[in-house]
Amino acid sequence: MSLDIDDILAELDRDTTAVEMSSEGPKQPGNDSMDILNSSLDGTKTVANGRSTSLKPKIISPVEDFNKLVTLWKNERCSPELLPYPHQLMRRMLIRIEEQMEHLEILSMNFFEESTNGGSSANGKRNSNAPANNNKMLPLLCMEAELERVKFVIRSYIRCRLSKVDKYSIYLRQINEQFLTEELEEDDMDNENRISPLETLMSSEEIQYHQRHFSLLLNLLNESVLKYMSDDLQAINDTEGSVNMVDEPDWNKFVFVKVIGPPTGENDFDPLLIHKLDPERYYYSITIPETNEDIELIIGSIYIVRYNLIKDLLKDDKIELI
Amino acid sequence: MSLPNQLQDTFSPKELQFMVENEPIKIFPRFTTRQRIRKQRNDLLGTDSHRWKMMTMDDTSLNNMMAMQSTTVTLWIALLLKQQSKCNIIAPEWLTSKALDRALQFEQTNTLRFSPLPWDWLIISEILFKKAPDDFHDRVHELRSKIQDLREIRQLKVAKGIRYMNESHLQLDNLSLLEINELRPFISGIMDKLRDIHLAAVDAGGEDEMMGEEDDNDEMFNGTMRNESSRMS
Repeated sequence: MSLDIDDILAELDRDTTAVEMSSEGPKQPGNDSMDILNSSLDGTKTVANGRSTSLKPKIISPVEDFNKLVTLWKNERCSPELLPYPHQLMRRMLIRIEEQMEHLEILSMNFFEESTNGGSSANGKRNSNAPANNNKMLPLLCMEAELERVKFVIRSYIRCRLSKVDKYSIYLRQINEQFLTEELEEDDMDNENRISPLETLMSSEEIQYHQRHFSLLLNLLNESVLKYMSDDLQAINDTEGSVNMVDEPDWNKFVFVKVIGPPTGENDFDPLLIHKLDPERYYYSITIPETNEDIELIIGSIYIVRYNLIKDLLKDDKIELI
Repeated sequence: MSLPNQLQDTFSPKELQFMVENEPIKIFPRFTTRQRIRKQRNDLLGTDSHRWKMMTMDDTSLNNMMAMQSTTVTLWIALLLKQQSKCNIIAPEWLTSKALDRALQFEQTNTLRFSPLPWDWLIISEILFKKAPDDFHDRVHELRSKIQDLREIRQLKVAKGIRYMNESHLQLDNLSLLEINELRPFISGIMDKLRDIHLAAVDAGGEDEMMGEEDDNDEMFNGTMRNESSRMS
């Protein structure tokens, strides 16, 4: 594939960019030898391409992955609760970052060699090549900048998640305990297939962090205050009193949402989506339980609504938090 | 701790700029990248050393740039190229004197609606005024003052709209990213409080006779709000 495109492009260049052609003049005549070079080059290139495509399945494009990551980052920043961790997506992103870093390292080494070689050989040629060299540096520059940008999103995303893990430490612990007791009750009902809620919610590193943070927190509370109290006042997850001790996410927090519609873009295939003709609009209907008030969430519009009402739509990627 | 307090409620302006920098924009490159493919074959390098291999965007347009032929790239690339004076940025259609005049007209005639500017208009214009002032056909200070006018007139509308805040919901179409972002801590905070007050009122009312009255008032409040909010959108 890449072979054909390159050749076509090379053809095009010959006709259109006369200016830069002239500087290429001396190398032009050896057309035959060039073709040989091409074929050998393309051979290696297709191999490289084959490898990269096998790593990234066809349907998943890096571009979409990055956009998805940015959306997840924004959602995480705006939502009151800890959202599920995108295990697959994150793995792909990290692999890609690693690959790109390696690629860049090789590139910059090439540049280093080139510049030292060029300096020792004919000086006149080197001067004429100076601007071209600068142009050659550009992709490297951009790729490095891009890498930093991707890293920034990931870093900010993880930081935001960690702050929530800190905040809802006890709550998350409770979810897990609930799950474990349920599991005990159900006993031998295909236990192995069940995944704990924490494992979908957090990465293994985050779970580890959560456990350590929790034990540190518990230790601190015990050592500083709780051990001096009477036994019945030592609980840290007392929900009986006037104030709940467990910090739960504020499920009814108001959030800004943008209605996207079904991710596939096929409005007519989404059972939740209501289609009204007069005036023509697609919307999701949600109801505020206390007042029984219906709200129409029209696709493409921006609303401020309670998080609880749109939680499920958010998990299906039908809306975004902004 | 892991996330600074000022970032808990809303995004920082820099983060917004970061988001907007991922959007596409048209440029006139001043150099050609197509050429390099052949050049590279000639000098026997055998690696992809001069090619753009990007992980967050489609790199075909970057590998096929032709001098002085317009192409679409991601904004931050455009800014980087501009900084190296390798390209001219083509100002978006809405960022011209005429289009801005039209938007201003719209804002003035429709007192309860926002003109349909792109969601990142404030940030884009700010970036371009700063980084590429020589790429505009109109005079930059004129554009800048028009943007400022637009911003003020819209801010006024937002300020007026604040009184329609309630404990149920609000629709805000065409409000841009930056405008939402600066409103977010205030509006969500106030609406959370309104919600709590409403809940407390309902709870306190209980089976009391007050309840009926409470509900009526509420209905009215919601009713007016809904009309207003739909007009505001």
